[in-house]
Amino acid sequence: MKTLQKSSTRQIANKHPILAIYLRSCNINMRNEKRDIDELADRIKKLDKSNNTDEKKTNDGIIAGARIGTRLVVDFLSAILIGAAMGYFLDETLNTKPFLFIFLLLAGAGAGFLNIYRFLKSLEEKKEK
Amino acid sequence: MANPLDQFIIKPIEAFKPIEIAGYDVSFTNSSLYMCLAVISIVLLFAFCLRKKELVPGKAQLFGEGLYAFIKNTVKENAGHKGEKYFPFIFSLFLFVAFGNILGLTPYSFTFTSHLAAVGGLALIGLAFNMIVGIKNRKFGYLRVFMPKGIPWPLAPLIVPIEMISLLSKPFSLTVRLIANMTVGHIMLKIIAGFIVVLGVGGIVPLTFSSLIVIFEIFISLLQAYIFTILSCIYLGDAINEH
Repeated sequence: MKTLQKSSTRQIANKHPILAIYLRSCNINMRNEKRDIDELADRIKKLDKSNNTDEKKTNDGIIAGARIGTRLVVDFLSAILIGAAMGYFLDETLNTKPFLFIFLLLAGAGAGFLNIYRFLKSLEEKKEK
Repeated sequence: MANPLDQFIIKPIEAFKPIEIAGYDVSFTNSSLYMCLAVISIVLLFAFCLRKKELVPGKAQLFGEGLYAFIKNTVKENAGHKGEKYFPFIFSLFLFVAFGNILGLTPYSFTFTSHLAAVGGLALIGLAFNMIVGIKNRKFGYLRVFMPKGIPWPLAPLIVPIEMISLLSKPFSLTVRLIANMTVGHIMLKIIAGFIVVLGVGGIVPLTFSSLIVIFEIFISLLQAYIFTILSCIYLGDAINEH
């Protein structure tokens, strides 16, 4: 296909009429290919010029802040909840009330801090880039 | 005024017979209907976008290809080169969640992404997928996830549970964030829309307000779907890349 697309459509149509019909049936519009690409290049040039003149202002500080805040809270709380739930159900099945619950609740809090630490560290790395 | 929480009730659709398997009610509900609708509309959208396959894309084709390239770049940036293989999974996840959110915004519809069962299921599928992919890529090295390098071995009994909880808490926090955002938005819309009729002529104020909220909600639903995707990518990257 690739080599065929390089040669012009008319050449293909002259040499292999059946192939030309097939290509047309594939909806691959080959006649306008070159003109289309030239047009596209013009449009890209125009857009480049208009983009350079006025710089875009980013105004998403509040939304980004809210996103980071909710992420911190939810990451922290979910780790504690998961730890507590794991401890509770393991206690129920293993009959070790209440030791696993206490241990896993504390481990959950630790995991929560770990989540927050990792998230903030990734944010810092992004900023440095 | 209707109860603003009524919109979240899951009820079986009466046109279909109730199905029961091993004591569980598995009837076709409005939730399942909207999941099917989401899948159908995704297929229709892409069939529409790609109906003409041209070298230089038209508007519709550009939309479809742009969406594809956007998620492809997200996967590449967050999961690395190795993660690109698993792009189809991430892309379908994104489309499913995004369409669930947006379909839920149309009047009289149901938002399945506001339910713990639906989104939690998706997140758990993601977790299982990550584990399988991680084990496939790193074999026993995957266990390093629970015991990062550079930690002295006497700390293992403390670190391993903490890392396990941290791993399990990720899909949970992903789920909570998505369903909280969707639920809050829909309750707020319903309450403010309830004031329109009650206030009579003064109802113009809540009308304007709720129209603005709808626009904001469309933005939020796309943003949340994107966050769900980007975090799935990051977790996937954690599972397959060694540190």
